Amino acid sequence: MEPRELVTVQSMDFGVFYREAWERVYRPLAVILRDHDLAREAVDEAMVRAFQRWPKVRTYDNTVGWVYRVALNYARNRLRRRWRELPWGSVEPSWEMKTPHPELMDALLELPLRQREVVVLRFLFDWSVRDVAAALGIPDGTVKSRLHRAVTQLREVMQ
Amino acid sequence: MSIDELIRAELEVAVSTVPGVSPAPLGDVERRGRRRRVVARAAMATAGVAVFTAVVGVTLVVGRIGYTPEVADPTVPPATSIPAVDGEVVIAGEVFLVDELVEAFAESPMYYGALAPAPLFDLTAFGIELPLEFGQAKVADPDVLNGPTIYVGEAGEWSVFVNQRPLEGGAAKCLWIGSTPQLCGDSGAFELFIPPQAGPPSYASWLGVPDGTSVVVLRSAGTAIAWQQPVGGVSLIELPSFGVFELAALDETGTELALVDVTAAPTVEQGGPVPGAPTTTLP
Repeated sequence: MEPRELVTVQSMDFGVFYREAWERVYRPLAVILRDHDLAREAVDEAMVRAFQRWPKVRTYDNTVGWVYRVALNYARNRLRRRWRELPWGSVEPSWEMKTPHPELMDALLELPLRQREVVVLRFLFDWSVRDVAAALGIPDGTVKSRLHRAVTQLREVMQ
Repeated sequence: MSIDELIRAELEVAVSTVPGVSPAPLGDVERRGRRRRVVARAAMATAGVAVFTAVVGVTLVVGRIGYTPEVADPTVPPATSIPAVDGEVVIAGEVFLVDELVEAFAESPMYYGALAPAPLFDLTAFGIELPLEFGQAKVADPDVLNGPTIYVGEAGEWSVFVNQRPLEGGAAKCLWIGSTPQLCGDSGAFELFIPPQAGPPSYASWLGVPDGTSVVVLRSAGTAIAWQQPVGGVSLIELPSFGVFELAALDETGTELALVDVTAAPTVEQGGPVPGAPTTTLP
């Protein structure tokens, strides 16, 4: 994340952050989870937690990343509590996802969760490897290796 | 078009197909956030209950625990406001980090304990997260509290606090379940039962995790099965069964700061063996 944006978040009122960040987290999370209702619930919960801790959360290097991570953890726990596996492969998205290259999107949606996360954050959020690593709480090298495996697999599909 | 550009373009289209929903109104989010900080001022009722402390295997009759909570309006600030000074309160001579005031019970103001720093490492292999959830902080009898109190969260139907207990020659910080001190001393891990159930769930508690602790990990036979971010220096993790467990305190980077054992065993009253002593004993 650029320093300019960092300063902006740190000086932000929670309401401004909420309005700007909610959808930025919701939409990619819905794609990752393939469940927009769960994504909405998770982002709401993450925002409540951000509000409760705003004086601290606003100082984090990647505030949106923190909200994203909290939301994803919340969604994972919800799924665990339901004794369900994460909805990969056999579970259809909760909405109709029409894209120009459905074979590519199908392959992307079938990637393991850990690979899918880094693909979405890297390409959709346009975050650096370092920002993705910080948001997911994993080393830079792990992000690179997951990204490499995922892109290699997706490239094979397109060939 | 490169594969990277293709993936990006495909994802952008996919995201645009996500059903648009309106975020909850900001006021709702703020209200939900505040509601978790709301305390229920409790009034004594008449039910009696016995509290079991598994470590000593003795039943302690602790008096009347039943209560009728009176829920405060989350939009109305407490009438008496005693803000924390620089986010710190002192209990039995030890500084605790707190977030803010819950409510003032005369000379016993109650604060939310500060959440431990967020972990910066991958916890996916550490089992499930068992967060300390905030609810309505219920104290059966605020008068039993001695000095400032830190609200840690909910365990089953019980509110958990840190408060001090007067002792000859001083005071000790104690972990309280409802209005009853369960664990007093400098620090330590400990297995205890939450009444009134006569068996699991039991909880592994750790009063006073090491400075810099980000998460406490529960392990069984060397395998991590659950983790939790402590609140106010306290971890309280529900155990899946009786048995021997390890609790490890890890810092933000995943470095282990301390490791203790807890043994969860049936109490004598339940026909089981005398519970094992905690690794870290307390006065």
